[in-house]
Amino acid sequence: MKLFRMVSALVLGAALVAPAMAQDASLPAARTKNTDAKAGWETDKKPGSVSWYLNWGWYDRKYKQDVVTQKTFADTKIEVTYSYGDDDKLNTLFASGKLPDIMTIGSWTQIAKDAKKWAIPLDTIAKKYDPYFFKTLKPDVVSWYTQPDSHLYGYPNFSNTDKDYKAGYVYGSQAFLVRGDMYAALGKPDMTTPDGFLKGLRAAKAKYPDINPIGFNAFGGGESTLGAILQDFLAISEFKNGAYYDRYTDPEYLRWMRVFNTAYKEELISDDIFADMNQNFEENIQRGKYFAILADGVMTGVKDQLIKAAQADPTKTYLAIDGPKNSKGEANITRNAGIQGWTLTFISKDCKDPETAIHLITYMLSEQGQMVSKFGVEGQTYDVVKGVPTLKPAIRKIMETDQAKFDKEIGFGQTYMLTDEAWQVKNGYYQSNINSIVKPITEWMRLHAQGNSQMSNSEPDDRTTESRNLTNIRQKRAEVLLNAVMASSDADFDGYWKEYNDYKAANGWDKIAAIQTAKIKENRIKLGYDKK
Amino acid sequence: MVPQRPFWERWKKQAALQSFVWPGILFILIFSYIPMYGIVIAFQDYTVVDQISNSKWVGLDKFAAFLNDQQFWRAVGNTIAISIGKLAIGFPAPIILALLLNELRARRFKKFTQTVSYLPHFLSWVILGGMLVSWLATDGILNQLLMALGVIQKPIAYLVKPDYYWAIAVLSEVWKEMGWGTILYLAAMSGIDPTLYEAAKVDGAKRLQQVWHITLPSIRGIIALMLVLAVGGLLGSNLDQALVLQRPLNLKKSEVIDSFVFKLGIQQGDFSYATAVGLFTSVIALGLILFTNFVTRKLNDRSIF
Amino acid sequence: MRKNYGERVFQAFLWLLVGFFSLLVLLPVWNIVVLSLNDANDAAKGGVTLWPRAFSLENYKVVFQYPQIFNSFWISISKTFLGVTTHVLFCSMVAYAMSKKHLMGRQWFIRLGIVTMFFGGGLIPSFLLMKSLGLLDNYLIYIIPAVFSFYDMIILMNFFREIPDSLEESAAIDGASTYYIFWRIILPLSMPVLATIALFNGVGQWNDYMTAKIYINNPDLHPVQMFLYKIIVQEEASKLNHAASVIVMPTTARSLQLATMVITTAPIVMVYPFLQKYFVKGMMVGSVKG
Repeated sequence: MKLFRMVSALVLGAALVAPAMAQDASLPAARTKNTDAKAGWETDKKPGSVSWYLNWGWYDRKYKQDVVTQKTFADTKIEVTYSYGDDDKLNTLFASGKLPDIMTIGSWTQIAKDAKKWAIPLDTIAKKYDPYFFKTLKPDVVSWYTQPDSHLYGYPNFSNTDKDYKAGYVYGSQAFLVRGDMYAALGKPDMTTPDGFLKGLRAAKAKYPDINPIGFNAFGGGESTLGAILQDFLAISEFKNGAYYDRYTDPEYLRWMRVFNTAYKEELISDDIFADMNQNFEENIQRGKYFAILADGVMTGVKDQLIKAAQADPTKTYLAIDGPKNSKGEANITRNAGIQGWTLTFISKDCKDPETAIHLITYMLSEQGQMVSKFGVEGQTYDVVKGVPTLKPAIRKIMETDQAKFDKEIGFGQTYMLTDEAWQVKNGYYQSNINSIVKPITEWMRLHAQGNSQMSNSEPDDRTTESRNLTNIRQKRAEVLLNAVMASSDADFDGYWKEYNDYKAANGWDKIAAIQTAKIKENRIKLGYDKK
Repeated sequence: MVPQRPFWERWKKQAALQSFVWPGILFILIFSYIPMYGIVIAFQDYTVVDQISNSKWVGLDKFAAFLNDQQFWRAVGNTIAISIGKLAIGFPAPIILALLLNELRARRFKKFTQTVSYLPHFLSWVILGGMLVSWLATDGILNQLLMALGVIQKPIAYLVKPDYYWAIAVLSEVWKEMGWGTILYLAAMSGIDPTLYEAAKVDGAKRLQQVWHITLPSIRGIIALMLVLAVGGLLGSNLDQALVLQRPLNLKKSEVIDSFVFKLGIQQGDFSYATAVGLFTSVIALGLILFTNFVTRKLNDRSIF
Repeated sequence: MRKNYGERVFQAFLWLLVGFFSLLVLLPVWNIVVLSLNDANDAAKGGVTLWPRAFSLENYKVVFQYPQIFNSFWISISKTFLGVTTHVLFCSMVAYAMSKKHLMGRQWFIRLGIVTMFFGGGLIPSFLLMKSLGLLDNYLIYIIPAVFSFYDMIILMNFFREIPDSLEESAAIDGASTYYIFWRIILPLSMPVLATIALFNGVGQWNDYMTAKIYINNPDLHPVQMFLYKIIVQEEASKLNHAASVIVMPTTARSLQLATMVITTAPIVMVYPFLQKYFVKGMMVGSVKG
């Protein structure tokens, strides 16, 4: 311990004027005697306060503005002051040498990887003040995030373990959507084979000339859903024969890219789709302007538009059906976050009152906290009907009709710093909390979701040559991919792919692939797939 | 030659003027020069946690990284091409518009036009981008117009054809900033002595001759100033515009230095890389502006600085 | 008579040319205003161009529901007014002195200044400087660091150089001090360029949200442009937040963005017509010589 403190003091130097409470020896004495029988927030009723920085530039919310945080305060007597910002703001926080008590930061960032330099291990604090904390954690997540110094610094939200996936507790985020009325009118064509797919699009175009036969998320500067997401649909793995595998050159994938090329040549894909911005894409959904959509982010950006479209005109209800499949006919795969989760929450070395901080974190991770953040208060916003929490009709009505008010004043699902999505599905609570219009789509995405934790953080580290090369290769790839879709002949099509392969070779692909392979292998050992 | 008077005496004589200028010097020393040590991160591998004091020194590694990257040079090429386009069209356009407005007699209409023409300056690119995409779509207003006029037979998807990108970037920016750019020239024109025009009229000078022989020469100094400053910005680009209008299909022509740095530097949290590129372009810009100032001094017989 | 005819044709031609250009600029801007006044979901169906199809003030209502917005307007207006006044005065003082060729150390200052047009220390050193000056979460952050701009100084200096020396010399012979000349002769003679710099700087002040974003935590000190920024990043957020698939994200309709843009820019747009009286042809020299 002593050695660690000396080393960390050396490393930190002058920039981070860390107070002396780096490790447990210097933590203040606990206020109450703690056992893991009861959570700290239940035994310690002394009012406390913490500051909490969220690296979410958009998180414009105030503590106690909604039912969820009001209840959190009522239970814990802890005041929270949120601050939020983007990477610039975070940079200035570190420069100023004084960090807020609790920090929530992207799990993929260098800052999170350097947590040892600026955070107190959660396990150290919990041992001293709130052993109940350990009862609220998923063991797999703990072992994933425990560092070589055997400490746990940050804990993730939206972390889904393999067990969660296997048990069917996770919803994917991609789906192949079709407009229900058109799909029925066209005789429910099979869209999973190249022939069926093209026939379906042709029929749609013939019968509904004003409607785009197929759409994709806005391309922006990227490949939209025509790259990795299509490959997932085709069930092509990124790890083959003990090495990282470039799916962009897989024959199954190329076979389908040729299908999209054919569709383009037959004018079944409009040029505008490649230029549209997210707004155009969302408006087109709302107007029911696509027959089929290979969609990503279905439950984030797209969901609202799907609901609005169906509310305005029930014929424009979209359904999820099976999309492009590989030649073996294997089931589509949709993805969501793996064990890595999304953001990590830390207690900083500048934390004035680590006891209060860990009480709050334990509360939010606990059954009670998860329940409050998703359903509010029993009797006030929900009732338990046959063991399942069910929203009160008045609340449900607000949810289905006035989403802005719902988000602001009720705030379910808005306090997501430590949320566990799998938890609510596991308890059968999810269904009552989702708008009925998109429910069938979510069910399809649940049944087709598969984890992919082995790929977590497997790309070359930021700020390295390989990382920059990969960025360049990705851009080239998106360019090649779309040019191939628009290719006027098979020779052109092949030419673009050759261009991609040449570009890879000239930009150090071998090194990138070697790094990815090494990282994936490491991940697989951590996940228990392989032995050391 | 009159011998110069002693330093102190001269100083005392212009003490009042000196008291005007010193606050300015003090200001740039404090607000520009004190923070300038931040440039050192171009020679470090800066991380947010380590800050400047603890980040590793890497010498010229970051410079080597982009100077050896072909994509960087592609971005430089595009940046210069777009800047030259903006210079060729966007520089004279506000001057011409200002001259037209200056000749216009209808006062109300002139005021109205002036106000209207500067409105687009206030549209943020993020929002304007969305509108622009709809206007440029195959069923958008531009294609409808050109087809109605018989200029084209089939609608064109402008944003996905790289060959149109430079024109889109240049024209949309000119459209947005042209009216705004007239303001300075109108200010300069309002300073022209009206007796000059009266004298010219007596001499029988026509309208265009008056413009050519009186108005333009009178604002020559401001035009030269703006030109020098514009040349200094040759390696600058409009990041917001690039991010909004870039598509993989037009990347060949749409990647500019700022968007390149955004992707390879900023988005990777690599502030050192971004600073290194910034330092490189700044040195060139400074050279350009000093060179243009030198040239205008030779041509115009006066320096703008 | 013939000459008059030629002049009329010339004016008509000008009228048409300038009119065409105005339309080219006005129509898209008008379209944006119309869209912000149209029902959002109706607008999403497309085809709303010159007049609202389903008129609605809902977008504006939503924006004005933010409890902070009126306070933010006050911050924006006051900081723009204060910022512009101090900026124009400060810059023109420096520029006046710099417009004198015989100013000692002039070349030295020019060199010092040009460097700052291209080289800066970046975010963190500036942040630490502002922190040590006590400007974090302080209203004065909008005013003090913005009081001088070398670029504006150069423009002013070039205008001041155009003023005939004879005016100053005759005043100096009458015994006028440098301060008097600057205040009573130079400034009144330079109203057009002062108005121009005021406009440039005022628009810059009004549109700036970066200062607030980096240096101000207290929402009571946020200017109104922060709303536009927030509404835009919230739109982005729904895309960024790829992992959080089941939460309800505040995605904002385009119409809300448009309404916010109209609300946040209208006040500053309306300033220009009031400044236009300073751009009238021949106004300046005439007033002095007269």
